[in-house]
Amino acid sequence: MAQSIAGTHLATTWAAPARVVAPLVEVCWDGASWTDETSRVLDLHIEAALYNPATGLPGLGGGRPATMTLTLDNADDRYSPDNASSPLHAHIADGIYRVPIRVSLGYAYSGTPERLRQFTGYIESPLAAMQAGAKTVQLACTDNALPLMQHKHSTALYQDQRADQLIAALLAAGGIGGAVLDAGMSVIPWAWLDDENLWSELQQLAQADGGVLYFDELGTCRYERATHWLEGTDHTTAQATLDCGNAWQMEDTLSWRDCYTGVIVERAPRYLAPLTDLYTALDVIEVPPGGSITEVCRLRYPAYSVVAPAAGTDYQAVNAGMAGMTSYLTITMTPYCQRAELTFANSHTVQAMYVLNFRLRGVPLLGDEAQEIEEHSALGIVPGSKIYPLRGNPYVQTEEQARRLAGALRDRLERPRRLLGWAGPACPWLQLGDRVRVVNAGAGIDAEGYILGKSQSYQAGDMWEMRLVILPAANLFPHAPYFRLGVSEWADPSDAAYY
Amino acid sequence: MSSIGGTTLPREPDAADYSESTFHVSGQRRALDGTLQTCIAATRRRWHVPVRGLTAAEKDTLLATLATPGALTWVDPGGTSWTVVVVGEATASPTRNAEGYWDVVWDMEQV
Repeated sequence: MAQSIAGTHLATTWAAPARVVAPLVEVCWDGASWTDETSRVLDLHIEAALYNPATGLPGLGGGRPATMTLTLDNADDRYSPDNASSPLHAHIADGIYRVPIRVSLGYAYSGTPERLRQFTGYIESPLAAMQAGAKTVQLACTDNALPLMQHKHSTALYQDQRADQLIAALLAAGGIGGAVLDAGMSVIPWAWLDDENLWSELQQLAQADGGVLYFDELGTCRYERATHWLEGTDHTTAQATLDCGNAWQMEDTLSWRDCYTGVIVERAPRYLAPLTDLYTALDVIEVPPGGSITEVCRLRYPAYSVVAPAAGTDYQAVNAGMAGMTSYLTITMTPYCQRAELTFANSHTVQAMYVLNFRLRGVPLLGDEAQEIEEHSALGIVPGSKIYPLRGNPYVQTEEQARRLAGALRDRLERPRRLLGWAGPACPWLQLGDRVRVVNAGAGIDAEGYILGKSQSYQAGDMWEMRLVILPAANLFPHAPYFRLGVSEWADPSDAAYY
Repeated sequence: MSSIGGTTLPREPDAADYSESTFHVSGQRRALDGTLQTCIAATRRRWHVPVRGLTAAEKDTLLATLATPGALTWVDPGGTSWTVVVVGEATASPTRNAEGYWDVVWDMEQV
């Protein structure tokens, strides 16, 4: 959604042919306060996209955080970890990694800067460079998705949760707050993580619900469901008009690569099976006297429930002479869906304990035969058969999910989609997904569309340039107007009703 | 009295050739309909400073100051202080019709 420009003159200053750029680059070196580094910034480049050319339109919304590269003047070795005299030395002596950074850009009105945030994230890696007459540091930065990208997590089993509920739980596990999440469109019967990457699981959840998940310029995580672009003013009303008066480059491409005759969506249903062994210890578990050990037990199947181990049924606790020591054993279990962490504590102060034939029993959640839903286009635009398969997403489980996804993908992919490109002076309030109007009278183009990709570059002595990739809205939601629950009315309330 | 880098100029800049100007640090591109689009980062000043009739010792002192790497403080003939860098060369040449005296000329830009 477009950032608010209420109370600013940004619409006026952007539209003017000459404008004063107002940058602000801040770094949180100490983890508490922000330091203005603007005077050392030589250039910056920011990329954000819902559209990955590698995966094309079928992969809309999948997987790419926003990135920024920033070049700083380092003539005095301010950013050099080896420079003990640097005022930053205490914070960068071990290198610059995952340091928070934020960039705001805008235009000045009557000498007063009016800025909007263009990037929030972390410095991921610095590259120092030196040549005659110049010492610089180039910082590679990633948005607020960075902490999630290598964060492995395990959970208990979630039942009958919407995508947004699962996303909220995973974001909380990753320490991310303040997310703005659309209510998901389906209920996912079963979900869990087993030492899996939070970022990739979040992307798969979004895809399973037909939506997109990303971090915006202000660092807020957003989940936008499949109908998001039909709701909200920023997607139903053009937020800016891009024409030949404010563009120095326009492009128009037709993507036949992303045009298909049909879509196959695979779903992976699951079912509860009878009680069975979920784990069997291969070795005897030895517990020292007065001590404890912790075992991480990877379960044979995802578990709906795990039975607390019972002496005599699930294990025998003995000493070296095979005498019983059950009364001295305390087992504490933390169950996850596909693993359990067990702590064995031996309260006997002299004798070591041996836990024999240990097993965990429980109700497993098994995978049923994968089923497929096919949807085919009646348009006949592409000759022959060209099918797009969506397989391997474990969160697509129900027929309702698969059928809705297949229909939405068919609608999106059954026509070759134009992608419009625009390059011009940066429009600071535009965000991914915003609706814009593109006018190129000479080429016969007057179309409204959604921003799929946004990149911007700036250096003093050059233009603050923005480049947009725009997906025209025509035929994207071909069955409009849609009936919206809680919003639309069956009929005008003044109409007579017949019973 | 004008000064550069803390060194008072032995003489004021030659009024006939001294100049100061302003310029925009900006980028420009033509839009598709011909409109000239401009993004201005800042407005800065430039100076062209000729100082004439210096002794050899004064010339050497001034050249050494102008050769200092980094930014310098320039106090202009009006008494306003600026932070500047020397741009290009600072040249010294014999003063015409005055044997044993030197002219030093240089250019500066506001940081």
